[in-house]
Amino acid sequence: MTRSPGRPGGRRPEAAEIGALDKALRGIAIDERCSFGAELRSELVKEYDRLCSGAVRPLTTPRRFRWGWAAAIVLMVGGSLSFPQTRSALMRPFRTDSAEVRGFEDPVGSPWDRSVPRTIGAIGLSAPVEPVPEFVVVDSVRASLPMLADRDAARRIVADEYPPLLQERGVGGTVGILVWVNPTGATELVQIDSSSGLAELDRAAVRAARVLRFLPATRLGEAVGTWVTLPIRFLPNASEVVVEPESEALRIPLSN
Amino acid sequence: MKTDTPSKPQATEAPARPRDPRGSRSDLPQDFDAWFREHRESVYRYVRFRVATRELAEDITSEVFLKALRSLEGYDRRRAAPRTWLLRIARNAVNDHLRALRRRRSLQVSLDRVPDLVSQAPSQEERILREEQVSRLLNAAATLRAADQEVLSLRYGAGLGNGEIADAMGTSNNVVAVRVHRALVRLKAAVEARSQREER
Repeated sequence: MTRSPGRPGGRRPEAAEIGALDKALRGIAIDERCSFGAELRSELVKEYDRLCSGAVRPLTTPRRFRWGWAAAIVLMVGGSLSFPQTRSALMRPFRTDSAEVRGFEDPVGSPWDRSVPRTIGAIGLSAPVEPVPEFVVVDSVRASLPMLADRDAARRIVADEYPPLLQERGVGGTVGILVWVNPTGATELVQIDSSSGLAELDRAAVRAARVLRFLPATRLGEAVGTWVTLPIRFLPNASEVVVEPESEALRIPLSN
Repeated sequence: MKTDTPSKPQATEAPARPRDPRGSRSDLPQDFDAWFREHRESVYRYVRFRVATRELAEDITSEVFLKALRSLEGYDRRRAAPRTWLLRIARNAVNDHLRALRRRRSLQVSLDRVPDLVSQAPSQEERILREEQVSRLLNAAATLRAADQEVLSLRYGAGLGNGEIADAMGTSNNVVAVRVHRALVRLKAAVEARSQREER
């Protein structure tokens, strides 16, 4: 039995109906703006002038250069393969036992599971580095790491929480904070990952971490919650607090 | 208003100068000039059939001819007729544009965007009815698969016959006839489905 294309189980339209549709489509008048042809032609003449004067290069490549291009591409590919890091990056999609894949397959990352580093950055005092949104390809899945929503606000929050007495006496330290950043970018759970050795500094870091706002991690374009480690550095003599992304962040496992 | 035909060049256009066959400064290559005059309307109509507004159709048509001019040296007449070549460039340009639009999900054609498609309607009432009909048809056509849209726009936009569509698509007349028919059947189904949804 013949079935109408696009109409599973539906009736087959009669020839008259198709004829009427054909007529309706033919009846669509497509009128060009009357000066369009002249405008376009003058644009083409200008472009041709530019092509003749060499200001614009034609899209076609002269035949004699094609072999040169091909040789250059072969050399570039060959050259890049000779670097171990590039070769490793190219082979990553074919490996199933890589740390990235193992990390990605983890269920919700537990803060006490130390098998995979989860540092996304530090709030501390050092040379300013512009954080760049990182897109990580993990087993062909596009994912991004959480980032501080507002670094200036984060600096102010940390600076406000720094106990004045300790700052005046020149006492500082680094507190490793473990934070669950939920899909809205808020911090839900805050734990001390590594103590500074001073309870007062640790408490200040926890207070600061609770109010930090993040751009949440994403996977396949959707925001997901994730655990991250956030070192908070209190340095008494520095003039400003900055965010310092660290490369270990690229190995963060993302989980719902 | 109808566009000028090849036999009736526009007064504003510069007369062709018999010089270097590749053309010269302040003029176009002679071959290209002839193709422009002869096929501009087909290309514009094809593009206009597939995009929502006249302005977009003009932009894309300009892009098509500029690309063709820049890649003129690479054109091989033995591989494709000029119109086929130009329509192929137009297809790619339109597909690029539609891909970008699909990402933004803005393929709908609204009534205020089709006046240039119904200007032959005699009265205001008929004009409104025609506008509704045309936007319904184009919106339904936008939901068809790419191959159906392609064949319908070559047929009803560019106004090509089956043989010319077959040349453009690299297939046979019979295959084109069947594809057009099937595309029309699917379009009919899409129009009905849309109107049923609107009634609910």
